[in-house]
This record gives sequence, C-alpha cells and structure tokens, in this order.
Amino acid sequence: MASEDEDFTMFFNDFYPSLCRFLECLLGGRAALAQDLAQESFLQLHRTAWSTLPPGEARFWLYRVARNFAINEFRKGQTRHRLFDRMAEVMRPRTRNPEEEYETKERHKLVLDMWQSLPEDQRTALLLREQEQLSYREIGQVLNVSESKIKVDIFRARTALRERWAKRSHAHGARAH
Amino acid sequence: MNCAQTEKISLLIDGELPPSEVRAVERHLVGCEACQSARADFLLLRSQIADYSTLLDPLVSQRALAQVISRRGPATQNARALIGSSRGAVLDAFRKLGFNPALATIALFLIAGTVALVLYLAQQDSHDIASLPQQNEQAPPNVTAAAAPSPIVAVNESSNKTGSGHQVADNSRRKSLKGETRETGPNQRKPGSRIKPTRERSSPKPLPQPFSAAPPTYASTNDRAVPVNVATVLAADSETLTARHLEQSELLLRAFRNIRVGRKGVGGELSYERKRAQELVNQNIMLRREADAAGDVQVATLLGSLEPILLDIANLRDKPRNDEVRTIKDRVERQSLVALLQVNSVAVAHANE
Repeated sequence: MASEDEDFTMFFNDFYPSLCRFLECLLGGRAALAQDLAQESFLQLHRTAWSTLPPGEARFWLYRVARNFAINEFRKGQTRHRLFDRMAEVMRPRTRNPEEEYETKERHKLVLDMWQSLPEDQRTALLLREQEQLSYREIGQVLNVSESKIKVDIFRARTALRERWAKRSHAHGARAH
Repeated sequence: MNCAQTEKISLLIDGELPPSEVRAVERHLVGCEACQSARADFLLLRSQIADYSTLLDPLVSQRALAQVISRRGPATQNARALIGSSRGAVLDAFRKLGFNPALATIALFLIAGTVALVLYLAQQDSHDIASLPQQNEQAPPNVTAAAAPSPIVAVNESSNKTGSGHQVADNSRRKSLKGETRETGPNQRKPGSRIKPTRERSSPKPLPQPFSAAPPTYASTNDRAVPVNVATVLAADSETLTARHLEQSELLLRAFRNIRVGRKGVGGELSYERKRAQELVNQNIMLRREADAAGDVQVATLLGSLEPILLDIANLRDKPRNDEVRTIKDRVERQSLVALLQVNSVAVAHANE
C-alpha cells in the first residue's frame, strides 16, 4: 500500500501541473476551475483505475477523464463559474514579482484569445499534441476517435489559428502606422 | 497555397508523415515559399502553445495530492463552494465579508451536531414510549451496547437512579469505540455526555495584540447521549483535524522558510502567509487544548511550540523588516519545526487510519 501511494505520488507530481495547464487552456484560462477538475481527475484515477490500468495507460485515462470533466463544465453553463473564478482570481495570492506576473498574463491572454474560435475537439487535439507531445495514435486513444480524425483536426486547428494570428498581426501593424 | 502539401507540412512537423513521403515533402519545401511560410507559422504557434504555463502555487499541488491520497472525495459543486477551492478562495471571500473562517467552521460543526441531536431525539421519542414502564426496574437497554455494532447509549434524565447501569453503559461505550482512549483515566465523562472532549469553560488566555484569536467554542453538552456511531465520527474528527493541521502548518512554514530576505527587503508581500497563519492559529489553540485534555503530551508540546510561530507570522506587518522575518525563520530552523511537523503529521495520520 505504501509503495502504491509512492507511485501515485510520483505520478501526481509528474502530471498534475501539466494537467492543470491543459485544462486551463481548454477552459479559456479559468485556473481555479482547472485545478479543481485536475484534482477530481486524479481522485477518480486513484479510486477507480489506478491499480487496474496497464502500465503507461494511466496518463491517457487521466486526460480522457479530465477532458470529459471540462466538457461537462461547458454544458452546465458558465455563469456560476464565472463568478466563482472571478472571486478566486481576486483572492488568489499574488506572486512575488508583479511585473513578471503581468507579462505572463498578457502572453497567456494572447494564446487564450486565439483559442476562442476553435471547436472543442480541435482545441483538445492540438493541446495534447503541442503541450503533452502525444502522438496521433495516443491522442486518438485519449479522445476515443480515429487517428485520421486527429490528423484532420490538428491541421484545421493550426490553419484557423494561423489565420487569426495573421489578422491580429495585420491589425497591430495597421494601428502602428 | 497547395492544401494537400500544407497538410503534409503539418504531419511533417509532428513526425507523423510516413517515412516514404518525408523526403518528397522536404524537397517540396525547399522550392515552395508558401509551404515554408506555413511551416514557420505552425512552429511559431507550437512555441506559443507549449510555452503557456500556469501560475501554480506549490502549496496548492501539495494540498491537492494530500486530499487525493486521503481519499477525500470531491464535493458537489455547492459543497466545493462552501469548503473552498484548494486555495481556500471561498474562505478568503468570507473573510473579506467580515466573517472569521474559524468561526464559520465551528458554526458548521454546531449545525451538524444540532441536526444529529434532533434526529436522535426524534428517534428516542418512540423508544421512550416503549421502554417507560421498565426503566426503573431493570438496567437500561444500553447494557447490551457492547454487543450491538452501533448502539444508542440511551440515557435520559429520568434514569439517573440506575447508577451502575450508567457505569456499565459508559464502559460498554468505551469498548465499542475503536482506538478511543480519552474515556479512560482521571477525566471521566458524565455518563451520556458526548464522547468528544468538552471545551474548557474558562475564558482563554489573552493573546498578544494586535491579533487575538477568538476562542473557538463547541456546542455545550447536555445529558442527552448521542448515537455511538456519530460519537465515533466525532472522536475521529479530532485526530483527523490534528493531522491536517500539522500538514497545513508544515506547508506554511516551508513556504515561509523559502521567502527571500535581501538588501531591498523581503521579496514580495506576505499577505498570503499572514492570512494562512491567522487561520491556523485558531485551529492550533483548539487542538492544543484538546491534546492537553486528552493527555497527549507529544502533540500538545508540538502544538505549543508551533503556536507562537504562527502568531508571529500572523502579526507581521504588510512590509515587514528583514530582521523580523529572519527572526522567525531562525526560530523555525532552531526548533526543526518543519521536520517535526512532517514526522508527526504522518504519524498521526497513520494512527488515525
């Protein structure tokens, strides 16, 4: 039991930050909610599947569950969460370097803004590819879809983001002149 | 732009292109500016997405792990709002509205206790009617409490005459409680009173200004008993609370220990650490008194060592002087508090299991 907890602790420490990041991007920057859902995902894993999953599968299981939680949140509607997240954002302990935090926030905002127009499945597939470096086959395993769908989704997501990026740069350039 | 080729660029940068096609696409890239531009844009997007990082507080991670490992389930949406996010955001919100989180927690316990009491009384009404003729003649039904898995230790005011029966009941209740040691020893409880140690009636020792912790209070006990299963839960709460408190204090002291003290003063403000310390001080006082009452010298001593540190952190100004922070850090180091808390929180948690 002790070694199982140790293994789980190591797994948690390895993947909790990246799962939080994944969820935060998926949820449009809602950090508090992302952390809650990440914790719930790990709890589900610990309770139901940790001791039964084959080696190497836990990560995919985890991301699948986390993504499902995120989809549930979308379906529930966002009003309550907006208020909760706003409170959490106000109450959040500030980092020790406010300037660095501001710059990071602006960068985040830029990335998150670009996600807005993407459908959820494209967003998820691209996130798993770029942030978690999963292969198309592994992404298909997480999302329970075919590899060819992943191929198409990632390409469409990149094309759409590329166009938004180009428009944004063009708009900035025009304003500068 | 050739769409088929652009899609292959997407596969190429992901390493998903079949080996037989890689060379052909690379050759195409050399001569195609549109595909070169697409490749550059895709890689730029990749760096933007991959560089996205969350501002994750290490305390948050540790707390999340502790909750998952201890198998505390996720609350429902509303309960999550009450209990607070892993960063205690809602508790902080209550504080902003003027409520003391410690008092709010105590109030929740009071409400839970009242509801349990009301339910028990509702049950007992039907028991009283059935057993009324027999009460004065024989021992109360709770003589068999030891045999029942979760007996109701039924004592009401009218049956105080059956002293031996009460003593038996009290002993049987002690036996039925797993790991319960508080019932033995000189501090024997009144029969039928709650298992959980009662709060000291005297007013608390005055604390140094400006921050003075409000003395936590529990619901006063009366002669009515509570079902043993609820009492078992209440008894276990104290040990669970102690383990959690030690763990949370350890996390706070670790964070405080890592604060940078430089020539330009303390790195960043300490509002989060101060707020946390204020919350923990109240809890520390409560748990220290319980440990004293229970005769748990080790825990009481540890909590006694911890309390002044928490108070000092709670009383720090918004921008404390370097020497103020250094003094506290030195004391934490001298007493090896972090290590002691770590060892004890694990020990108490294991004992609780």
